[in-house]
Amino acid sequence: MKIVVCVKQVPDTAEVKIDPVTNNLVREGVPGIMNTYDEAAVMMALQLKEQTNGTISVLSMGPGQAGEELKNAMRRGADAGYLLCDRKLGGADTLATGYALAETIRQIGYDLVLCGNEAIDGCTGQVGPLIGEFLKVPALTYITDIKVEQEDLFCYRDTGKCVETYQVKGPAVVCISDKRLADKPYESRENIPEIHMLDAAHLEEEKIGRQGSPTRVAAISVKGKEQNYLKVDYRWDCETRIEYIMNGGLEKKKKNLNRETKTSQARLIMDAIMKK
Amino acid sequence: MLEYKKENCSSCGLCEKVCPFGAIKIQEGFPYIDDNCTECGICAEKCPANAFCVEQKETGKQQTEEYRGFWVVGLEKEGEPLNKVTLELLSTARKLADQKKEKVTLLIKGLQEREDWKREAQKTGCDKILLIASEYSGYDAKLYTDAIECAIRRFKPEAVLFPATVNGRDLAPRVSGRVGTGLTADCTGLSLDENGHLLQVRPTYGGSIMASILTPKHRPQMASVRPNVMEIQWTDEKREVKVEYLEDFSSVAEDRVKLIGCIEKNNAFADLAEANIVIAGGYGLKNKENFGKLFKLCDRLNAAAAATRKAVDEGWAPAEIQVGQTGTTIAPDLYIAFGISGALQHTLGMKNAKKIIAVNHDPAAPIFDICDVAVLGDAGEVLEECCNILENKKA
Repeated sequence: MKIVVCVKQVPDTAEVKIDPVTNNLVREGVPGIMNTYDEAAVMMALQLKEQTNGTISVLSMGPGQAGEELKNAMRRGADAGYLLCDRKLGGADTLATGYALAETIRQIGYDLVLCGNEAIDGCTGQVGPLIGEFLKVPALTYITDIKVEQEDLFCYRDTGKCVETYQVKGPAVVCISDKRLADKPYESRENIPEIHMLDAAHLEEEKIGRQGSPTRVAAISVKGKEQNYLKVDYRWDCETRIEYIMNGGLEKKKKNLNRETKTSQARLIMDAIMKK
Repeated sequence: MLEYKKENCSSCGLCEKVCPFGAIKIQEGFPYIDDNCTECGICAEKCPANAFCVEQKETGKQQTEEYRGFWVVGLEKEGEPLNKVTLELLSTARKLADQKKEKVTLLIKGLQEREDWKREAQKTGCDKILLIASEYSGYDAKLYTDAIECAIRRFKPEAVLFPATVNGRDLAPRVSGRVGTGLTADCTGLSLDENGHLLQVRPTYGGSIMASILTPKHRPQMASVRPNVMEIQWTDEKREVKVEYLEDFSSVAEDRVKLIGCIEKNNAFADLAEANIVIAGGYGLKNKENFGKLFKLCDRLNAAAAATRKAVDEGWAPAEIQVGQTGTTIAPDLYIAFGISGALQHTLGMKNAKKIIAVNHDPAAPIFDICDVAVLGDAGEVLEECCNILENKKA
């Protein structure tokens, strides 16, 4: 089985800082890491490779430094790394990214495409399904596990409400959502092949980069302060301010404390539930 | 491509400061643009010397005026009433449509007209229900994508809203790829800008930053919207809801993918965001055993379980059910808090609950100020009693 895994280098979001003066993202000195879900997809690919005697190609689109993550994946056991790197690809939104990755995957050749369910920086979860759409193959999202039996894949999908099992025939895109896979131990190897550098020559120019992106970022702001913090008016007296903070800015409701026995208290709660 | 004209540049250094992505560095007096550039065009806009130019060559330009009306995609299963998130989206669409005097349409799969759908939709001010008639029961990405593509090409809506649920987030990108338009994920705010474009606000970088996104030249403008963020607003207007079938639509589900099994999870861990009743535990429950009881109670009562950050940190509850500033935001009809003091971090995630019952041993607990019913007592003991009552009822 020929497996292609898409990986993205993301800034370590735990360390993303905002310049208090300019309100801009501070990128300098922020380390790049492999998106955790993509890491899980790489580990899943390694499992499948072992079971099916397959090969793994890792693909990333991004600046030159994203090659680090390809090397990381190859040290874990991926067989080849492809870096799609071209200034023309800059400013791509999910649609343009999905197109560029899908066309490149088509050229590399695949039986199965694995992606992380979403990236921990953008958190859109859109690129995986878009690759499926552009390749005209099914895309399965929120997959926690894959089993191979003969020619078929069995994918387990966690919807929150239930765990669904899908039987998949033929090529597909599968998006992995179980982050825990990323923590699996692996043996690191030293000798890894060179990365294949790709430019955008095989892509239609009007479908890539900013030109191929229908969406525009109109503004970026630090999250609405009202949502994250309380605004406390300094003109209020001390007591009001303390009360306001203690209430989390919510309206205070007058009521009596229920001091009955625990049995009648429990009954009160159960009655309230049963009424709904 | 971002173009830099050195001959215009006055070396003022403003571009370095305004670039939101830190992609511009002043080196030897002139800007140097690195790979982080996303061509957002802010430097071009702010540059006093017009030294930057973002190529505005656009292709696939559509007649945006041709596209009218606001759509909501409902992903209800057969026999289900309209989901809360669908009603939230319909209310949001109504508000937007009113500003442009446009119509709101609900696109939903169903073989027959349903009176309850019609009634609920009417209360949110929906004008039309467009039914996708298919024998296939359940969710199938291909079938939905084919149907929505067909409907978009025929009726040309200016905006399509999807619920940002598991299936909604699976479907929306496929539709955007099919019709070649922009899609913004997990929006928390929608409004119209001065040109009448849909301004889509979404959190990014783990929620620390809000980005406002536009789809200026492509139609429809598409967004998925998080559940429980928008408010449901009922209108008193007597509006006629037209019900129509999507005509000439024939497509079948993907035959290479087959759903062969589905194991329901414990009700306690079902969809927290959609739940009407939420029973939550905090540090005051003291131990993991008490959380076990809480989960059991939830499972029996068809309620969803929730926990505070402190309880999750202690390892008493899984992180998925954390409610608060970090965690899920919920707005259930009934919220029962066992041993939750009411720290701001938690209350910000549940303050929209309609009715709050709180059990706590501390008469000064802040949650007693915001709850509707205050029960003074040991949370673990009262919970135990609740379980006993349920046991006895069964017996």
